[in-house]
Amino acid sequence: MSGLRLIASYPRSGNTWVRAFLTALVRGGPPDINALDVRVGAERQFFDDTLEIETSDLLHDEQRRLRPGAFRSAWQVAAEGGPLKTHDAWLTAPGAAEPPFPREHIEAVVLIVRDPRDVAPSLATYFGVTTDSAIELMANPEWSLGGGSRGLMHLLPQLVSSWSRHTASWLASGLPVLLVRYEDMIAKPLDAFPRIAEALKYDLPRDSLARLLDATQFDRLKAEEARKGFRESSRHAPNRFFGSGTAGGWRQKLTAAQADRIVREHGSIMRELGYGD
Amino acid sequence: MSAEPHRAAAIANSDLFLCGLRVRSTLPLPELAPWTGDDREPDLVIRTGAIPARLDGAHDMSPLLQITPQMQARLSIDGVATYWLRSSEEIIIDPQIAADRPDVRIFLFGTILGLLSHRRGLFPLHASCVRIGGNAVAIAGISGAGKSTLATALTRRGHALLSDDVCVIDPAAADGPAVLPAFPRVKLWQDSLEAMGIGSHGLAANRPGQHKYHFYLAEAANFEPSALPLKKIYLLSPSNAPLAGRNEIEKLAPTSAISGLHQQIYRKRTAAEWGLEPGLFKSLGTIVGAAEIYHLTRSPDLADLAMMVQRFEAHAAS
Amino acid sequence: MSDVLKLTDTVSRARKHLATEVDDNFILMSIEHGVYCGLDTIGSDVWRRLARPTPVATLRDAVVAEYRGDHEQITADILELLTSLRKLGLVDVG
Repeated sequence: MSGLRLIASYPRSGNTWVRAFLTALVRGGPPDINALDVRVGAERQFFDDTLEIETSDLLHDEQRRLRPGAFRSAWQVAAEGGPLKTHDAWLTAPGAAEPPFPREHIEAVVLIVRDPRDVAPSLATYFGVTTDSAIELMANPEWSLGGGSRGLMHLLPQLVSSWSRHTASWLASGLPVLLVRYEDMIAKPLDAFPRIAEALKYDLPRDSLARLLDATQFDRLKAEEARKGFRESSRHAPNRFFGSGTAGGWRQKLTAAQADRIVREHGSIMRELGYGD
Repeated sequence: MSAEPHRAAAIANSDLFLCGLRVRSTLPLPELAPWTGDDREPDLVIRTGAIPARLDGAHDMSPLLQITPQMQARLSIDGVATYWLRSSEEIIIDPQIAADRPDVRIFLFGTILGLLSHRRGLFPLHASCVRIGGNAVAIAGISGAGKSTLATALTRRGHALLSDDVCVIDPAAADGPAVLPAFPRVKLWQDSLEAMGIGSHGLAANRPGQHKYHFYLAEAANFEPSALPLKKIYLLSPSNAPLAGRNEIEKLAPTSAISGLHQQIYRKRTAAEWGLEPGLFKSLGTIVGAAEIYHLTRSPDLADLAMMVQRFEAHAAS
Repeated sequence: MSDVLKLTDTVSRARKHLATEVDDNFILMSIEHGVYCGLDTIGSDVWRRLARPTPVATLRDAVVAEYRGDHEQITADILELLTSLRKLGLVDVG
């Protein structure tokens, strides 16, 4: 029995694009963007079903503590459902005793990274905040998703952390991590996507690669969203989930001061990943 | 006259009503309406007491829940209480905090009520339920879909509540599937309260520090104490964005209705482990044969709530 | 075992499935595949007859007698139905 396969990334870094590609691969044709195969590793429904309680009745610390245990008790069910998308960092969140997935059941991790200068404007649109606030979030080691306190989120709280800590945590996790740059998914899809598929234990027939890449071209997903609507798009930017999807767009979107600030805060990991000037 | 009969009457008078059951409890259960039915012996006794660490022949359904082939269950919520569903007639609770705290009752009226319903041959659906035009209308869906909010908004327009979150259906009722009323209390998050203009001041928090509150429907007219025929079920799902070509409310064909409702059977995994799934699935057919099943897509923006409630009301009453 | 069923095969309901009826039509769920499947009137009729192992030819003859349709068409429809039910793990063959 194979274990958990994770697609880890900072938000707005290409995770959904990979999910669309894998859905096309399994279905053998263009994916319905409102029925993507890959589930999210923090979906409340999974934890409610696994623990047989309403996790909305638990405090955030309790939810974070029980998360890895829930995966431990139902990892086969979770693994059979295919890879899981996650924006969590590989860190021990407040209240928890370990990172969010049980290490011993993880079979593979694909870590998708994107130049943080391109992440920032995209994040701003998605969350309906200014670019400066987005840059602020990306510098916050305690940044969490799904931790809202006034209403119920359909995802459990996830410690995303700062862009640097998030990325470094996966790279230093000791897990079998395949690092893929978003920029390479754009520039060298024929190389990047087969590597992702292989790491996640998919059978990718070589002769269908071009067709699948065509079916999940970024512009095509974007057009699909404009035409049909996208359930997962943000309430702050309804049906504008798929943005420009480009690499290097930050040169037009960020001020020099904003770009400098990102480099100041994340420069060391950026250099490691080849995100120079 | 001796004092004895008088005291017995006092105890009997404090009996409570839950899904048609006469409940006698040593634990304060302010959620429940008083029992006003016949003078039968209690159907269910709820008491505090010690609970074994491990039930005989137990199997771990989750890190929190043990069950046995004899349909016993032991639920343990650290820092709150342990719960033992010992038989169809007895629930034992071992609180780790003051027994009258609302936290203690959350899991009693959640998982334990669901498992009790399974044990008693009933059909618990993950739904809230209101009376509209003399019939039971259930609003089903996953946590966060907006069941409690919609149900509460409907009570504020004069429709009585039957249940919140767990909707206990008697699929074998003589005149077709009927909803057994639970109690006049809903759980609501701060944002939903605000959208309905209800202040959270003075409401008990669901858990300490949590912005989720227990809201009691004080008016007797806001709670329907009789079982009512189940005529409509709405499967509620939120969508962050408008989806083209999809109406807010769509009728489901039988196969989609069955699959949609099947996923909303409350505490389905334990029921399946107890061998109840074939019977529950059969009951689904009875329910879908008797009630109309709809899909309801909801905007996440609570500012749209008032309009949505009016459209819903018109649809559900038609 | 080939993919296509033959008239000489014997078929029966698989052990692990869920079934219910709405307006006399069966709706089945394959637990193994997590898939729901609604049967029409003839499909439901066939399903009722599958309570015990039955040769496909016997099923075909019963349906032909009941509905007086085109013999070849009914044969093809039944084989198609049974083949897809087997694929979903809802009927066993042999």
